[in-house]
Amino acid sequence: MRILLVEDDKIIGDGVVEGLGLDDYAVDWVENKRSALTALAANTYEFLILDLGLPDGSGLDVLRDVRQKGNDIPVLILTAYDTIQDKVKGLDGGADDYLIKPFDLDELRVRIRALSRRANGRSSPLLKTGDVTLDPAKRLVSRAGTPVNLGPKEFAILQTLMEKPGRVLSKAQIEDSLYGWDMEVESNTIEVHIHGIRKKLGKDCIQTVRHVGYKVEEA
Amino acid sequence: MGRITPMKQLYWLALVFCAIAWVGSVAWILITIPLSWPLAALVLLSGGFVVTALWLHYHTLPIRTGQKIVELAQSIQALNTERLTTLTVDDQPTELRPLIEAFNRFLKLEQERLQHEHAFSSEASHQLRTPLAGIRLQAQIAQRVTDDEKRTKALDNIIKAIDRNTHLVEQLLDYSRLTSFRHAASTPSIHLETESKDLLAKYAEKAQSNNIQFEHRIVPELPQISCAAHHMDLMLKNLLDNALRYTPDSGQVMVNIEALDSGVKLSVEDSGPGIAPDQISTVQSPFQTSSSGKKHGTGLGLAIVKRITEIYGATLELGSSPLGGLRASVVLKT
Repeated sequence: MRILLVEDDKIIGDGVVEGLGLDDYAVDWVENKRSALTALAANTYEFLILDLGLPDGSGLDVLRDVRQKGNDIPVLILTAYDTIQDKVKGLDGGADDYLIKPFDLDELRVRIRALSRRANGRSSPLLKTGDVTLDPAKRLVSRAGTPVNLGPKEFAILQTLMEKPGRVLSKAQIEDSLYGWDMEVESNTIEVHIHGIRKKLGKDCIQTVRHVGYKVEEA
Repeated sequence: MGRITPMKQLYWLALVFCAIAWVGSVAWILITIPLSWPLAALVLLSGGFVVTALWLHYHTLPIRTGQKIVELAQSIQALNTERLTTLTVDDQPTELRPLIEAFNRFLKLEQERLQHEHAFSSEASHQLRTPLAGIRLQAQIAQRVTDDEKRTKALDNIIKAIDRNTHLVEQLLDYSRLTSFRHAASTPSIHLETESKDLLAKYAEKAQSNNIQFEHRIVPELPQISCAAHHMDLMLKNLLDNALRYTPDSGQVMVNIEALDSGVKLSVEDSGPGIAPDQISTVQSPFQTSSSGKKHGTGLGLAIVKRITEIYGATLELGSSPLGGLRASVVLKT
């Protein structure tokens, strides 16, 4: 999943990028409002983490812009202001949730998973297709009840596909959601990883749609 | 009631006027209208009534004013820091109004002070939360990463954030000590030249390690100025800190200390980004930074300097320097 982080504090920004990187999230980090708007216009993100006090304006302005454009991306606000009015302002502005600084890395991970689950219209935390079950929180995949070991990128690709069951995702779309700006992408990595997944979970778990991309069946 | 108040004059005037009108009208009725004894008696009685009413009104005035004062005291007693509503002037006796208005003015100042204090503490807690968030996050990363290089980086970040928090706490303490500072009976006099020597040497060294050219010019035989030594230190430290903080690599910082007719002028100039003219007055309030200052400072340095100048009746002037950045000048009185 590709995330845009808007945070002007260097140490928090670096911490979120590193911390979410442990879960193989691809995090693009910008430090001001202007770059945030540019990044949002140029890329497709599946999640937005937004600090409110930015050097060139408020994160609420970014939020307003996102919602005005009809973008319903899940938005989590990070804020050091803890009064009720501040929270109300954020949520009324179209945010889905907020975390007050200082926050726990695991709390951040939980909120990201819950919000993106809701954004994809699911109520169950588990993803299912055929006899394959994926648990995003525990980072476990099992086939017919038997745990299967996937590599981190394999896991991320399978999760990306399973979050949009029945939909065909192109190679570029999968790459986009897997790699941030500063990550190297080899030209055939997606194919290699999908080959690996099929080997472990069976040939039919991911279907190839010729000249378009890949998909998994709805449960 | 010793002094003749305007109220008392008015009262006597009314009384004399009524007495003349009263006696006159009775006499006039008796002379001009035959058999008018009943009418004359009626006028006599009503006149007596008016005079008695005036007399009563005047002599019960202190009692009624006294009652108002008691009520006023009660409503002042009911005020607390949660509820500082100004007192109403309209239904009060004229002689109490100036007192109530003066009290209301004082109340307004107190309201402003409380508001300011509230805004300050809420902003302070916000400022303290940010480095704490960084420390917590980086500590969790240090716990989890297996890569040694990443762990070292996380630990370095923790130290950086702790240093920043320490600086912030020091600045907060300095500022709040200054806001509660009250003048001693006599203000000590200091020699700026001797007082600034150590600090200037320390910052010259710091500048050198940051690859910044640091110069200072001090006019010899400066007059003594009235300022406590530790306040002078604090002011100079904040001005120099700011200058070094905002000056880029291989930039320039210059300190000038010169004598004026009735004081000493201390200027610190740098080749940093400076402060836009429309932001000059806001940056002197606590937690207000210029748009370039958001990244670096706590927003308290200039507020501390400003507060010290207020204590000693000195002036702080911010403008642009020929070096390209900010020129901060403080004029201290002898």
